[in-house]
Amino acid sequence: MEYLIHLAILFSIYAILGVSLNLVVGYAGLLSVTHAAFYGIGAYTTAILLTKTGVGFFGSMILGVIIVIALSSLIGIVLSKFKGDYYALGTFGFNTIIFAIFLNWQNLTMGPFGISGIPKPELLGINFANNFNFLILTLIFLGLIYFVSRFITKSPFGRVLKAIREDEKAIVVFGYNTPYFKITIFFISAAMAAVAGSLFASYLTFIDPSSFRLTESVFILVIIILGGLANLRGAILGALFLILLPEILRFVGFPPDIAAQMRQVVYGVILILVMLYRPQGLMGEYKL
Amino acid sequence: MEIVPQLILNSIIAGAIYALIALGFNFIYGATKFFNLAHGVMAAISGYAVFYFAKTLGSNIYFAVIFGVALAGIVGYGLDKFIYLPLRKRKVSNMVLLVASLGAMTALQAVIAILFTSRFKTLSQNIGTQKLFEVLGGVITQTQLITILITVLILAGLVLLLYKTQFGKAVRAISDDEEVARIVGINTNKIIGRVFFIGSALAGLAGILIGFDTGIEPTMGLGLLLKGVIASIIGGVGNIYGGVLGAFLLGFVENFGIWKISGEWKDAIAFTLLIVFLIFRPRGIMNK
Amino acid sequence: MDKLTKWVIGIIGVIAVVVIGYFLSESTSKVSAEQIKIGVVAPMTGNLAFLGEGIRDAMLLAKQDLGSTQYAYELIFEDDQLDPKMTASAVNKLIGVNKVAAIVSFGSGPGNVVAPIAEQNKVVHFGIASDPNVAKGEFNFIHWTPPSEENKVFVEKLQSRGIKKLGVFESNQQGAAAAIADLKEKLKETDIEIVTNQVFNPGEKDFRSIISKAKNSGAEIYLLLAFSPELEVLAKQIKEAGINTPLTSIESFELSEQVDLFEGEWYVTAASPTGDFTSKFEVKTDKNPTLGAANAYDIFNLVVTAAEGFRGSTKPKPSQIANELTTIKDFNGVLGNLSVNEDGIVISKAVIRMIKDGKPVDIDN
Repeated sequence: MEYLIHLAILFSIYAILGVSLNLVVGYAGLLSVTHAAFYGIGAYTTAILLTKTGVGFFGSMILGVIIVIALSSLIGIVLSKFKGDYYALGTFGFNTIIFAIFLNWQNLTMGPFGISGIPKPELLGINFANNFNFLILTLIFLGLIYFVSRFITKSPFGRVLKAIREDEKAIVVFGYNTPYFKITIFFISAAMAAVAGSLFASYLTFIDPSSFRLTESVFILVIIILGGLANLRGAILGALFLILLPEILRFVGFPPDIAAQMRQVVYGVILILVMLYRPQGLMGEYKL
Repeated sequence: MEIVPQLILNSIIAGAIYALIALGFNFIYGATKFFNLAHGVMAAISGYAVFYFAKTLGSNIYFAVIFGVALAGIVGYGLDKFIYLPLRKRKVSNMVLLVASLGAMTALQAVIAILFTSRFKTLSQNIGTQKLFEVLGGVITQTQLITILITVLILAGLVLLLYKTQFGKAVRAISDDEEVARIVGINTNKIIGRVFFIGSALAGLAGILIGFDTGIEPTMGLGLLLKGVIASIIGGVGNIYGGVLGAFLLGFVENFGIWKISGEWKDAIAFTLLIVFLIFRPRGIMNK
Repeated sequence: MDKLTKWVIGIIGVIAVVVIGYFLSESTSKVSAEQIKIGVVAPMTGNLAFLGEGIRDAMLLAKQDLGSTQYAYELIFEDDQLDPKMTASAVNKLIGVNKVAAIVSFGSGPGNVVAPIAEQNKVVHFGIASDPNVAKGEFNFIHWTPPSEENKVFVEKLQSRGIKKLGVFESNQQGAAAAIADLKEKLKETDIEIVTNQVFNPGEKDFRSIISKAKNSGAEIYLLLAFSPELEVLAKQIKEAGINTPLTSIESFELSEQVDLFEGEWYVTAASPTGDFTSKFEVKTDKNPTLGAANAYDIFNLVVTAAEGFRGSTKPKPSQIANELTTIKDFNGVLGNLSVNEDGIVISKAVIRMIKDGKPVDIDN
């Protein structure tokens, strides 16, 4: 049972990451591959504040969100000048640079040692070391973020985003300040990732830079591509699938020396097959 | 100041490797306009092929190299024929191709790991006793010298191919506009298939040279690819000379950069260079 | 929702139900009264898979070498790719589904993730890690020669050779960083100076420029705080740069597949695996033991010893195994004479060795 609860917590965290990234990639059409960086900043803010100062979990989450909003706005401004594939490459760059900071600014982040002993949240005396309680907390945040995202996508703001995705030049002609929209959704998405980061840090009680590199951003991107871009439920389904898949494969009886590598082969082949036969993802409306 | 000549040499050596990857990548990108994540794995494929034939089976080294390079070309060609081409026919977007290539990369790396284990291996026979040459106040090994020479030769060869052959003309036409090229009667799919063969073979060659210089491991491809891509972009995507120029520039910036800043920031420096170019000169140095 | 989507969701649902059903049933039936399960979490895929493979092979070897015992020991291996969240998943699966009594982890990162989970679930946890935090709590143990032990021996050796200027190449990872931090502390009380300290990231293969930077520092010896594969490439490139300065390390040169690179060099190592272990390992796998493999072998035997040593009528619970473990002293492990101290740390000593004719030999100061 604990195993299932653990998987459910991981799933919820990644669902938050998927839903938030979908706002930028699926709705605004911006191929961002730096989500892990904001996830990481949220995680580190919580980790540092909870282990070195008296700030509580929720306080640290708010602070993490503030820091991420400031930083992602700056990054978003720079990125708004890039188009298409270059946008993606620019985000690769930012992720790498922020990862290097996690790794090398040792006075702040403890670098490769990571930060251990991160305490659980304190709220009304609820024992969050009990994973079931933590799961409820995570699900509450997932619910909030899901509804906020839904609200955004169904609002006029959301319609402008979709228009930017379909044909940015056209909508500029109508007088819309497209950079404003792009930067705004970018920092909103980043802020949500920071929330996921805070939850992750407190749940695992230990974080180190390795959880926030480029490969993690790619993982989150694959979640929403598989689940279906521009579909929030798709992002959740994608997270479910990608968290469950490696676990399911643990039970398939491959011979022990090649078991782990075989799982990678299966994972890669599944990606290819899904792209070949259902590229809009499981629930996508937006055919990539 | 006596460090400077060696740093210059180091930059050239690094640049030569990046150039080989960039040449292959640029060649393929020019014709297909998509970011093939599996390009780096071709380097590993050739490296391991040579390892198997030359070291394990003991066959003649030149034969092993030729076979290794050809094998990478064949695999690249196969990926195009069975995965990328069907996807292109359905007019999917670049993101789908990107994810499909990610799947291919994951699966191929895992297969190599199954066959050869993940241990780092070196292709050279005598360890640490390479012939050294003193050049301009610095030291360079025989393998490194050969690498630089081969890069120059390949560049020359590709230029000849692109500008003095019918095939090259067709490739250039496709790079300009694939639709028009098809209308004019060029069998674009066949040409692109060959482009994949050549480009992948080039990556394979780079892998073999790296194998002799330092060594091979199944996951060596991605890091190489990213550097190759940075080189291509700063030099000018799709431009043959651009890739090489960008590669050497990257080599210089990295090596002189860590002269003044500590070694652990190397990757951050490379990506900062990329972002600077993306902001101020996204078309790269060579493109107008 | 179109039909295809419904199908896909249906299939996922079915798979999920099957899996859940499978292991829910697994968990109620499969642990016999005579069986003790040991779970192992290590990287089995990714760049460092060779380390996980080495640990796996060492533990399977230990199981093979086991004579007759009161209980049957089963090993279950799970991949974590050294990724903290995967470590957590693997551990939860081992505890929840397989009902393991003990878990072995590799690396300080994963160790730190496993430690609180083990403590909470009352399962023994043995980490192959340098971070002492991993041993916090009554269920957590570490088997790794602490950096302070190794550095003590290292500094003595430097002093006995009259070395005053030390050059350091340091890999930007936990184990190396811990060693260098401790070393710097110890050197404060000596007249030995670190004249150059070059840091690089794991995964780097081009050390030429940092080597150039170090070249004119006047170092009398270079300390290579790196692990395979960076270690070999670094050593090779140092030689190619025409530098003939001696090299040394605070981890085993002898674990390298390219030992010839280090011919004639002395180094500090955790009391290295006895020749017996190394040759048995080579017979089984055709390769040298990797970092931590010998530790894994010892850990298996320590856990078995503790479980077998428990005087009780039924199979010992993990808490009882943990208790027994703390009483183990002077255990004859492949890493030498081992004792478990009250913090749950297995102290193994550090020694100086040298590579002579391609083989490690002990040398006295």
